[in-house]
Amino acid sequence: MKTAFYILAVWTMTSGILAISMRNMVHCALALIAFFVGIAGIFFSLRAEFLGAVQIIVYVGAIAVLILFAIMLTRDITGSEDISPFSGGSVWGWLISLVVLCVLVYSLQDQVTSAIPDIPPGLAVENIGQGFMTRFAIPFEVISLLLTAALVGAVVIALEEPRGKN
Amino acid sequence: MLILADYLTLAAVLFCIGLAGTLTRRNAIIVLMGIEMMLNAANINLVAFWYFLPAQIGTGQIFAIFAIAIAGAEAAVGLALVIAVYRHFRSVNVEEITGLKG
Repeated sequence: MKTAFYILAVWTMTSGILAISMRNMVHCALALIAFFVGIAGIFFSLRAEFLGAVQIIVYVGAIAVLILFAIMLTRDITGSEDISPFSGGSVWGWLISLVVLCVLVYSLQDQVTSAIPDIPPGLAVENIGQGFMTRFAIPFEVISLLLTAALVGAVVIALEEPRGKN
Repeated sequence: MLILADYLTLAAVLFCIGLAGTLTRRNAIIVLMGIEMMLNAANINLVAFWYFLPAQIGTGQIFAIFAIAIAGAEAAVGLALVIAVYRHFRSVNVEEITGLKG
């Protein structure tokens, strides 16, 4: 349990840092896929098997492919190899994220420590489905409406502009 | 023995990695990738709270599934925006995209 956690922690942190720091965009996307797989492993280690499967299907299966397509469609052929991949004021970005990290870790010092529960609360898919159909029925409908709207909106935004406009 | 704080610390570190990617990179697609990483780190928190704290059955997991659905919608719209912006400006460098009116 502990070994698995540390392996997964090192795995996700390494792939996350690689995903935001490499020059080649496709390599960044591949590191991001490794990051998503590591997150799914953390879900599995927390006994949330359904969520781990959803993570792999949605992120590795759909969002990663979407990101790769976006990279291929917007590839700057003329090449921007000579300029740095980081923006001009990136020192401030690193500083802000470091400060946020320090504040978060500091605020974790005070919280109540609790050990692993004796009986891990294994949750069947049945319970999640029943939750969606009973207590969370209205949020479930709202999220499906949101997904439909996002789908239509994405198609409308990405549609080719009419030739006459330009 | 692993405690809740271990998972919360890992989630905090991953969140800040994603935040750094969002704030420091020039490429708009990597900015979106950083946002996805932050959402994933938040999901670790939700599942860890569900696992360690006595709560109503499955609430944390159900909330995480909602977060994943929102992240999917956000990624679709965000990448569509990136493609539309690229078609207009011929660039996805966030420092070159400065005009609101074309």
